[in-house]
Amino acid sequence: MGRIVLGLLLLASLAHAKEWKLHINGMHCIACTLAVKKALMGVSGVQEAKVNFKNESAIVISDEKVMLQMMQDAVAQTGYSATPNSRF
Amino acid sequence: MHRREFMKITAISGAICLTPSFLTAASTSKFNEGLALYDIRWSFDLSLHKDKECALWVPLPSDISGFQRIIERGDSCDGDTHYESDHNRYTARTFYARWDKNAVSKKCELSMSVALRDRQCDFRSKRISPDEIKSAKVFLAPSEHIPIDGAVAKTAKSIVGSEKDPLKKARKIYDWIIANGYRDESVHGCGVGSPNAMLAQLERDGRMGGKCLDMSALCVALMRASHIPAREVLGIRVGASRLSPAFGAGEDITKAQHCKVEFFIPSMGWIPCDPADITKLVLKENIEKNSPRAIELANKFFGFWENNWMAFNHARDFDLYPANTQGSLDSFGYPYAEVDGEYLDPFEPKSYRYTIRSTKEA
Repeated sequence: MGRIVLGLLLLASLAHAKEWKLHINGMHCIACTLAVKKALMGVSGVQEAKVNFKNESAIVISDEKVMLQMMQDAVAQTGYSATPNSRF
Repeated sequence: MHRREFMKITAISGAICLTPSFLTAASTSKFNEGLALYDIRWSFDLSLHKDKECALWVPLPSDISGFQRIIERGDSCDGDTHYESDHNRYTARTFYARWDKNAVSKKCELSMSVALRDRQCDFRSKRISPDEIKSAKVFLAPSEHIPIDGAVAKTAKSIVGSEKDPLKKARKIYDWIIANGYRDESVHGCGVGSPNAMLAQLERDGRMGGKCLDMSALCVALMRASHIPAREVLGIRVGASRLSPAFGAGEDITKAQHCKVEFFIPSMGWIPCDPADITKLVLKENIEKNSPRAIELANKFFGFWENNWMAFNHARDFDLYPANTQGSLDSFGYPYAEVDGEYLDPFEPKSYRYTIRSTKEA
């Protein structure tokens, strides 16, 4: 029974997950991806963040309540900037 | 005699045969005085990253005539692909391994025995081949992290003034970095190696803090801006120093990476120097920069490296082979790994469980 409930909860969270594609400005080396990832993962509701130095991009999976501004503020605090990525 | 011992003696004899003429003129016993043998072992375990594709690039040392010789090399790796190559712009020796996402065990062990010798420049003129002079000129060019214009050019000009002799110019730059730099222990790893960031700090605070890559990159940039070919040499401390605990390492050398500088004088060849280690000495021994000990070692480290340090490469701002997902690396002194294309922090070896150990042979 417990497993079924957990499975249903997981499905529900995935059904309501949002995927964000962000352009990250200001990264000057691969190590910067760590700081950006840490900032994004620090936003309440962000489930996964993958940051790429070469493409200057991030893909973020979050729940529905996460807003773009929340992620932008978090990234800005680390000295970088995030904007919606139009290249995707 | 055991096969391993026989191989070592044979290889060391080979190292002596490969030494430059000023070394072969010395007696064998004199050569052995400065010779140290180390067994070095890298261990990687990426099994933590289940159901994910993992890739690993490890910087390895190459032979340097007269100072560094790889005697034995072995590896045990369960990667789906693994090999050694130097197919990159700087011919930086690299061990590469890749594991498919369904691999259960993702482990790798690299081992080597290496003979290291003190390197001491005597600052005498010798014959340098035109090819060597030509290839050194590559190290006059700027790269993404080594600018030679703007603040770097302005600072270089103010340091060297009207000096024309390249060796004296190099010494002025070396002394200036020691005078204005300090070791900042809060800096992650070896630092980011950004000359402009260092100069901005100096402008703001009146002094500049950093670690070895920061000091070395600034030294290289200032020398290149002064028309002296120069390059960082990424490497690792592999044992105790005879000169100071500040320059040494224990048997666990996982975090003992260290970057030095080499500059090129057409009548002398490549000359080592290490301003960062003098700032480290000042901090660790709690001495003044103008104390007799700091001055003595600053003089010694202009033209010297000790046989407890092993060089990897002088690669900066380059592409790995085979290509990684994240793009160009700014330096290659630490192992570099990706999990599903994401960068793993090499300064947190626990995140992918790696250790590097070194044992000095009697």
